[in-house]
Amino acid sequence: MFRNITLGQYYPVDSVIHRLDPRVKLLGVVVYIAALFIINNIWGFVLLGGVLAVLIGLSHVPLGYMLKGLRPALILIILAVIFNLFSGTGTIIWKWWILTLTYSSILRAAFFALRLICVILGTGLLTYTTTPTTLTNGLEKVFSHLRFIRFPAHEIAMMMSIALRFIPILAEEVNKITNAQLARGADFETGGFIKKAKGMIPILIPLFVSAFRRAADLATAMEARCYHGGQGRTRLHPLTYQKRDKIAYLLILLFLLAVIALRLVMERYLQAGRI
Amino acid sequence: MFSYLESYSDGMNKEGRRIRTETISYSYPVETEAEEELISADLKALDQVSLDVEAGQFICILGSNGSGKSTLARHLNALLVPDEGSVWIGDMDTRDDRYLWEIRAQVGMVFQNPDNQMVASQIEEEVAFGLENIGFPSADMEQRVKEALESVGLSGLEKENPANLSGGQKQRTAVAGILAMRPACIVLDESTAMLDPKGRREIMNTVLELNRKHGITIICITHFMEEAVHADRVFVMHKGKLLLSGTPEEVFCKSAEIREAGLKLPVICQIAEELRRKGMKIPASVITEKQLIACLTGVSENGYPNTSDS
Repeated sequence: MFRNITLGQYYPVDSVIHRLDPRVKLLGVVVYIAALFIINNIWGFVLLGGVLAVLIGLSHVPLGYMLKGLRPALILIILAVIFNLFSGTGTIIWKWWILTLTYSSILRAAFFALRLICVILGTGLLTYTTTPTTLTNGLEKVFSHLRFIRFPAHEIAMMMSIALRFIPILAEEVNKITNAQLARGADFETGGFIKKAKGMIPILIPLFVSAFRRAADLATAMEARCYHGGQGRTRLHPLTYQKRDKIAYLLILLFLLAVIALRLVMERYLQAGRI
Repeated sequence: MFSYLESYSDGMNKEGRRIRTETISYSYPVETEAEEELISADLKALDQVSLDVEAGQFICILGSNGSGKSTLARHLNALLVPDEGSVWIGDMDTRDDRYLWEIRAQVGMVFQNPDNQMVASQIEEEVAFGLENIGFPSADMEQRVKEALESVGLSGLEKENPANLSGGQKQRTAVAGILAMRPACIVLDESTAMLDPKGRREIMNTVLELNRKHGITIICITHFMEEAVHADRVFVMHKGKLLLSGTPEEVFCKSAEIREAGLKLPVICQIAEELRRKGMKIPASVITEKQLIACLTGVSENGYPNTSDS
């Protein structure tokens, strides 16, 4: 069931994207997501798609591996498209019962799907090229600026990195439990949606029990290795900015400016066209 | 290869690495009253246990499920503090909060489930975790990690994801994580229980080597009797009490007590015992395959009854 989950998994190859400072990549993702909501026309998506393609190319992560991350979100994308498709206003192209299809709704559905896909690919690129611990390092550094409001930067970063570390372990566990329940005669295949959903209970309960047990074990093991929060902690690879990171910051800024400019220009152009 | 370990173990004061428990008792806290009635006072997890482990010894603590052996292990690095009695690591009392991190750096623990004790998604980061926690300078950390991985034979896997390793390799990574902190003692809390025979051998060979070459005290908690054969001293626990202690030879000849503790004798000892029952004179000190073979070949030469009459 979760056998092919790749979301949030590090892909160990060497590339310039892998070597970038995680803080740069985090800012990049934030700007990238912001850009997704700034752009409102096809040329914006062309620019964004181009940038994403270049980044994926630079990252040496195979495209197929990247696309595999989309699979778990496929249902979400399809649902979002359907809802957007039939909730538009404007010129009606097609109408049946309460379902109406308009030009603007088609455009909106397409943009929505593109945005979702781009979000998943973009954030996926971050987690494929950054180890959870490096990511933690970066998040911690970024959020440690919020220390003055007692923001628990280290704790949150630690929790996230552990969550990522345990994804493959829990996925394997789900398979094991599923097989064990199948061997006891559980039926996950037949019946309607409700019956299938109910069928998940014998998987979820053992999964939760085991997850809690693992959490207790891990906490003990961490304590045994002198873990006592972020205070006075040092790092194996402390974060320091290199030349490439500064260049990347500059490129991110240029990208943001380009996206904003593109929107302004296109709006001006469309308005001019309308007049 | 092991130079860094040698220099540090020689330099350290032997007395400072001695581990003692003085008549410690411990009961797990019970939350509801109803349960309190069920668990009577005689079901203490630890009951008046005294151990004295000298630096550099290889110790085995044997016991069946619920014998209190893991509870004992958790006392050795202050994960638990005894209700009565006290635990001493050198001259540090585990009850004293000032020494908490020093004690945990000195006494490392390897747990049973390899997956549940790994924090990082990269081997080198996993090995460095303990050092990071004690605030070890970043500049020297890489060297320590490298040497620790060398000592457990995992060089070259620095960037690997723990998910891609075998059970034995994961446990050796855990050992490396402890070694990086240059401990006086490593406690293996049933660390081989979830491994296949190959992984079990890997771990045992690794810790034996660390013990022999560098004098790191090993306390091995297990219910696999075979692992106890090479120990300097063996302790058998039963229902929270120390039932037997001594050299493996001394302990394994007390087969009645071993059975009482819910354990099985090592296969070789069982064979020797059966042979003895058949009238062959096999000394009680025979506990390894080599000794048994030597003894058996010796037996037939001396004209004692041969196995043919059995």
